[in-house]
Amino acid sequence: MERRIEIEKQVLSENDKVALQLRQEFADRRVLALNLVSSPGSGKTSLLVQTLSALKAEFGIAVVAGDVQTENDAQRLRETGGGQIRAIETRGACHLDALMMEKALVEIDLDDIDILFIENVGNLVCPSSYDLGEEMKVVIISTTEGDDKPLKYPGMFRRSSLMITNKIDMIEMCDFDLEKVRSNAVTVNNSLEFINVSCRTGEGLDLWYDWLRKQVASKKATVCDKSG
Amino acid sequence: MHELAIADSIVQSVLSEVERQGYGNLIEVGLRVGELTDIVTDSLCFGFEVLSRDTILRDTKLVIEQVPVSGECLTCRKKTSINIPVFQCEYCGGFEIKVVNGQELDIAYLKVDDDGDNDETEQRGE
Repeated sequence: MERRIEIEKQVLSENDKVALQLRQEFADRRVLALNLVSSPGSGKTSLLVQTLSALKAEFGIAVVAGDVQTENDAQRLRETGGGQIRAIETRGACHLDALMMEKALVEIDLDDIDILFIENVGNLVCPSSYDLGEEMKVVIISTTEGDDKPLKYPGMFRRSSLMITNKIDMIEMCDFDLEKVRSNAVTVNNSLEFINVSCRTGEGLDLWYDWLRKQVASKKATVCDKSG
Repeated sequence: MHELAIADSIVQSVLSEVERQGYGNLIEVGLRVGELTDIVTDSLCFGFEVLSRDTILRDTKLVIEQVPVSGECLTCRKKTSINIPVFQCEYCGGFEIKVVNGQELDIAYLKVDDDGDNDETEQRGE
């Protein structure tokens, strides 16, 4: 006899279960965990190299850097001399998942850090489905890409909290319209914040550092629990 | 191209459910996939076919229901359909939208045949 059984189970429930544990752990240790996503070549690693150099005296920082092959990104980050750097080589997988994160975090002392940067694999589609326990996603695009990118990848821009536009020193050469990319992004995600930077010249990076300081401060702030 | 990884999660999840509940022959797996997941259903079907080939799910059909994006407008409070990529209320034009549907990636149901069983005697002749 044939019968239909409603099971209503999330396909990524295993991932989400681990992500939930990680999120709780980040909350307990008051670590700001940011998931950095972008296309390949937008400048995630360059942004982190600058950030580690500028803020290593101010904050404890760790980076988990995902790459399909090689540890090149992690190596560039280690050369800054700031923070705990761990590489995840996904060997073909197009995204990081919560289980890979859990494994990489074993080697990181969360009590020693204020900020955990997760440098995801360069890809604007697949990583959006995998929760890594992060506080928020930061999406990075660059002026050498099209200003319609938010419309092409609504899933990722919808789930992000901050959009960083990199390579603004090259904007004249690229026909990239800052107003247009912003209006495109807002139609997808009305609450998105924006910062424009050049990791090459350093322009705009202070705004990014201030944004980070604000996020860390609110993470550390004590909230009185009135429920009990 | 994360469809293969998703297909793998589906196969593993269904296999463990079948084992736990002791279901007989599994005829169909019903999946619900939201538009915002950016999943290419053809690739997902292909992944399911390849990964289930050497398991008791080799004859199991995968049925995918695609769910369009819809939301609630936080300005006028109406339920609205969303024409992605523009998250705008169809009634008042507001952009503050809470997404209600479109992010699903769920195994909704299993269809089983309790008279059949999945041991080798049921296997089709070749």
